Amino acid sequence: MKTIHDIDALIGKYLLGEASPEEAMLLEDWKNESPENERYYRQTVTALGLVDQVFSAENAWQKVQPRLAETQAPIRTLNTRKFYQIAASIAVVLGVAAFAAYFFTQTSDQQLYAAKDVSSKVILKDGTQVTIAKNSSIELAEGYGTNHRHLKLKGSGYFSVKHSEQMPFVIDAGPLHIKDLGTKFDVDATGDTIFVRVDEGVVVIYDNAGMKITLKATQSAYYVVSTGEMEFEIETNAPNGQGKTFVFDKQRLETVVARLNQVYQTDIRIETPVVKDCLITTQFTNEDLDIVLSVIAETLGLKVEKQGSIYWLKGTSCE
Amino acid sequence: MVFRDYYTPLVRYGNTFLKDTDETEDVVQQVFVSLWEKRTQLDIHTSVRAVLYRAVHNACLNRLKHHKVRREYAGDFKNTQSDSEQTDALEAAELQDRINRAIEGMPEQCARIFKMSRFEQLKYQEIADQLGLSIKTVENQMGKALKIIREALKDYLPLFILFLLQQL
Repeated sequence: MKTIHDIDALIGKYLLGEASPEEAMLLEDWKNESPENERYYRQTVTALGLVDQVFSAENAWQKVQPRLAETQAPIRTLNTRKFYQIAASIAVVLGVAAFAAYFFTQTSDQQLYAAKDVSSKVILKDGTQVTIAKNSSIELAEGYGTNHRHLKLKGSGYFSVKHSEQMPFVIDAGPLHIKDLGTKFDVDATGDTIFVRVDEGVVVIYDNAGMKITLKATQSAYYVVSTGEMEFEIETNAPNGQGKTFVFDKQRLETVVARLNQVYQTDIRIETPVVKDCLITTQFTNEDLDIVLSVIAETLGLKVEKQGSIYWLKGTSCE
Repeated sequence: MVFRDYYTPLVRYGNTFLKDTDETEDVVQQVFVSLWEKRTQLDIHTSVRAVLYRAVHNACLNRLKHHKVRREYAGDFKNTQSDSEQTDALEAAELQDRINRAIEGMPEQCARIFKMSRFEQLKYQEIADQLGLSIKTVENQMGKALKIIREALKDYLPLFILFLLQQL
């Protein structure tokens, strides 16, 4: 095992183009030993004011593969011993070629983007921008961006889509399909209810049973998966995802809380079931969550208590 | 598996000589292809990996020789370091500032060797010759210098690396 001091000298040699092939392999092995080592190496790269270059082994493979295929091995007479050696090395390389082709087609044709604990933003190859909410994922089927623009959504996502007549952008959220007509919109397919909100442009929503509606900017719709029913609402949302405007007109507290959780990415819960049915009529524009909650609590005569990251709404009845 | 496993580390290695990713990729691809073409004439006694590293090493050093000849011929003495090697300008300025301060805090010989390597672009052998030291001493001093800089950048590096990763 190399000491850290030796490793510094080795990394230095390597990065400055002084390393022999053996030293380069030694360093590569050390790096692969642990993520700490990899990080240590990257820090040294930065300490030298360098950046790791980005390049694609996949692209390279596509260039190299045809060149390997067209070169025929020259025919030679071989003695048996030699033949075995050569046969073995060809087998290795062929196995490799087959495997690499498989590996790359898998990764290039089917793509999965998943966000775990925090939401993440991805730009797809057709220029579509997607913000994937936490615990959500999108899956691009084979040929996405070249033959079609269909993707599967699990959970919620915010989509900013470049419209294309030739290749419509369609999201499959379980039984519901959302087709873009040039838009920015929000889809939440987390539970039994799929929520779609349009910030810009127009989308068409349809299911396999022939139901179809068109949503325009500032409009939103709920689709209940189990019943196949669509609830269509015109909400006065802010024209972009940043602004938070709510107009609640005699809405159930449970619905309101679900909306707040979604927009503020937070965890508000109602302690007593009886309070869920309280109706509220109010309006907020770009307010802090604390203010929104205290207004709701005031209005309904409830209490807000924060426990860790959870906001509890507590009360016995609606006033 | 050979291609997939070794392509990236080989390009990274070759790039430490050529400092030009595009060129290095060409070299490494050529190495794979010619090794494949010569596969019946080769008796590989060591591992395929060792052969690949050696081949990339030799091919890159050959390229460097060609560059040198061409440069001398054309009278072009411009810095061989490519622009793409430098980090984003704003980040780089901040980083450079911190690196400079770290160099000032180094022992004298350590700082001198580091500067000769990084700013005058001298090879280890050239530094050893000029200072009358063994090449091993140069290696060790460079290791020490890197350690000092990394320590000095400790608070700064995690953020910076995050920034790099986002660009990938």
